[in-house]
Amino acid sequence: MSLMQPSASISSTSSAFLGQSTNNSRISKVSVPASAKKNEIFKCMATPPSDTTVYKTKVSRNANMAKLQAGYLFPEIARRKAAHMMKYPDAQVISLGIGDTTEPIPEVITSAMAQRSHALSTLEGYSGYGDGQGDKKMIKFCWVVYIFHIYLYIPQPPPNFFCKMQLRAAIASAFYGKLGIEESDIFVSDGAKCDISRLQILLGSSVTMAVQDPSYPAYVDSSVIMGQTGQFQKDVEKYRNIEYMRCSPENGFFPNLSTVRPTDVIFFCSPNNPTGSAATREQLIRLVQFAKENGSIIVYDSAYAMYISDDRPRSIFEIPGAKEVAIETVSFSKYAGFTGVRLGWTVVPKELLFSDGFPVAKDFNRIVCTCFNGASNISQTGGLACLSPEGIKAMHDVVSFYKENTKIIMDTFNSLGFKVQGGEHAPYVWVHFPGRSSWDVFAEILEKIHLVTTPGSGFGPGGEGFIRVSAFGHRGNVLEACKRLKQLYN
Amino acid sequence: MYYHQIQLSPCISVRPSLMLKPRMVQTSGEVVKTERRRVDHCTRVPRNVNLEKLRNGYLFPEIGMRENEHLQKYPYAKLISLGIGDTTEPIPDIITSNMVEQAQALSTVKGYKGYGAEQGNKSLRKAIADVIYRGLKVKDTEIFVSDGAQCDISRLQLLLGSNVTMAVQDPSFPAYIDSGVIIGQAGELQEETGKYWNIEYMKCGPQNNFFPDLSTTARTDIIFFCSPNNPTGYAASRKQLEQLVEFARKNGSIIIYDSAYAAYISDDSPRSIFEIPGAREVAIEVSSFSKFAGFTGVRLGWTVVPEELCFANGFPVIKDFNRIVCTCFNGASNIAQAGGLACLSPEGSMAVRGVIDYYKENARIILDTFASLGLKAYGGKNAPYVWVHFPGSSSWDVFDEILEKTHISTVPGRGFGPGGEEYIRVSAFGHRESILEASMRLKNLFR
Repeated sequence: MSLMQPSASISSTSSAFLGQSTNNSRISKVSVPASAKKNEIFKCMATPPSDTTVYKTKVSRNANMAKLQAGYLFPEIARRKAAHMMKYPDAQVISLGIGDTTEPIPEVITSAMAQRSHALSTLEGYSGYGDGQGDKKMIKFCWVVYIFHIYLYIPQPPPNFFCKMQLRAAIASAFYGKLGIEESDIFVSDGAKCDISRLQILLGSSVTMAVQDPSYPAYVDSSVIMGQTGQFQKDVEKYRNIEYMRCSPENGFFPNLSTVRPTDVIFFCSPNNPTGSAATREQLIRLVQFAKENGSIIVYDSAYAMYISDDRPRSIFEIPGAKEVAIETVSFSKYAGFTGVRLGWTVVPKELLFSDGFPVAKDFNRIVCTCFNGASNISQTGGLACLSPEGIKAMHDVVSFYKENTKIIMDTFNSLGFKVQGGEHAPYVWVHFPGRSSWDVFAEILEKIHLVTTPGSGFGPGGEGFIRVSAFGHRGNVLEACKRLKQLYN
Repeated sequence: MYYHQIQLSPCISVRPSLMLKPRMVQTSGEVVKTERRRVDHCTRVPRNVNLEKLRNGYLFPEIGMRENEHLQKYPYAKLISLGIGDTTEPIPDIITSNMVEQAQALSTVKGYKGYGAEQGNKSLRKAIADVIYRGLKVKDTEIFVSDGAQCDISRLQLLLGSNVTMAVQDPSFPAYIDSGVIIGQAGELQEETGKYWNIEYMKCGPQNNFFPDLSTTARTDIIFFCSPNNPTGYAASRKQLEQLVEFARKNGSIIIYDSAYAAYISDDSPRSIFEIPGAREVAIEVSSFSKFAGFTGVRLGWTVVPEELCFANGFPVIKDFNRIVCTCFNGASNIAQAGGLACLSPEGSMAVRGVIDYYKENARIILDTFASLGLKAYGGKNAPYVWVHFPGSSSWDVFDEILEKTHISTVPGRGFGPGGEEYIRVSAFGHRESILEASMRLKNLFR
């Protein structure tokens, strides 16, 4: 029986699962506290229709949560898509909205995860909590896999691959080989979005922040939740206390730093979500200089670095001096299709210090030890397989596939006379609809051609007048989407 | 993990050079000599004052470090780890085969899955509601699947914010206090007592049957309560939990109930706070697959936030928690979730029961060992922890002595709060032969 379907006979399981007590006995032995009010205790069983007493705790709602204006952007897109599908049950809705990967993960990676999963049911291969012993077991496991490969005549990675088997070491080598970032600077996680919140917890409520405008919503939203911001100002669609660094066609999608108010923290994403723009080396040198002059910390999100098409920097640490001003957060999501598998990392260099000289990495380590318990060991094994020579090639193939999608989408909008940005160094195309509300354009595209996109204003006021089209999709769907766009806008 | 001893010099105006003092540090069993490094730049970002209030590293990495140091000192010693509560027995095949299947499916067009719902796969949420909370009216929509209880605790703290007050059992799992400090709820640490000013410590010891005296407990917004308890192993009775729910109700408090060890209960103590009437309006429950399915490395857990639970202004807590989960998290790994679903199937539940019974037998052996030595040992019946009393001793000294003389690592009770002084926690996770060997060594030491 496939265990991936919920069991039909679940009802008999609980007594075996929980031990001696049967289901019925869990409730029948309940006694009613004498002092409790009758109508509240029996509320769930037989509430009189006229009883409108709703019990409330005396715990104040977190005022920061109240500042958030709406739900998080992407669940809202999903909700609209679902509503649309209810309205048009026969429509073939194509999703180029939420940036969710669609192509299968290459087998060299999933077979490693399958083998690790299986190994967890063996004495030699079982491992518990991550650090220390977990790593040792992973090394042992990798050797088992290596020998296994020999007997199955599966193409083997070269022996020296197994010399550096721990994931942090592999990341340091693959991504930061010549940049002086060491294994101990790397913190493996369950993804960049989670890391952003952990970084916010680290930084606390008293710091000020700057973001690009538009930007990935998690930076602003997590900042609001942490209490770094003031209230939302409806007229300008900005939170007080956040410095919004406009990125637009007028400034080549790189902020004019001479007009940016200095803040403690600068969130910078390049290649950029949503605009697709990737900063040049010269621009990043200026950014690092700006941070240095103002004593700021850059939180650099390079989740799309593998999509870069030329020789512009793939890591902030390619810029001299960056180690003293920057943290970098990255993810396997968009390289290996790990959006559901959950794996990423953050680099906090030893040289990065708070104003009192205390190393930021020490505090981040404390956060990671206290507020987190490691990425799944199976996901980590997948990550390690991603960084084998075969795995790296496989990731490049996946990225190339999505880049080809991006090109098709870009060409479509270009042919229709739209001004587009992005697409060259990122799996996103940023399309300008001058003078139009982005939510209106989103709704129109969804209604008329059953295509989901993301309205630019969801990424900040600087996104108004733009639509983000993501390039993640099966080739057939992307081609069909482009056909429909041509019909709509010709 | 590394640690520099640095000279803290003000780095505020023009950037003075900072000389980092070299220090021998030990990390993961290696001795790393830090280099004398000249640093020209300090940022002007102030360190988060809340982090400064944490005096030491988190408890369990500290235990790990001590084990490594010990192994450095005695490279041929057979160290037995009964310290960090880490599961040791393989996960039953029926569960891992589901994870294998899911991993392989990710390479197929049909089986590939990208982002899952942040709240978890519907089938898993439903299975948790149907199996774990059968008969208790917990809806699948009230269940948030996560990557584990420790992570959920911090997300709950983010939800609640810095302006709430909290109560914890004393002793308790350190993440409650530490996360409270980090978020800014705890106030300053009083060095003499080892307690944070704003935290209400509810002492739990043999004198009060390991249940706090609620009549002397101050009102707080939040009450963290773990049952079966880590570290004492005590499971609260139905009557006691009714008192707790009533106490919360009277004070308008929210209980955060940690039931990670519920599967270890041997008697008819409640396995969920939601067995208590009225709990839905005052409690959140956090639980985990770690200790009943061996998922400590796989990473899977859940939190239940009932729809009825409201803030003072009537706003449903579940709405805000959902927002946190959508913004600060991106779902548990889909492979881990497939494993979780298998755990809750009829065959999976039976298999998992076998592993739990194995650890419970370990706990019994450990309990018997200490009893035979005339030491007062608590817990061990409803939880995989034995809580041993060494009256008049410093728990770190006892920890050191046991480690030095028998090469067994445990956890000093003081690590769980001031109420843990004089106690040692011995965890029952281990291969049977290690447990038996440990038992023998302890008998030799303490006879």
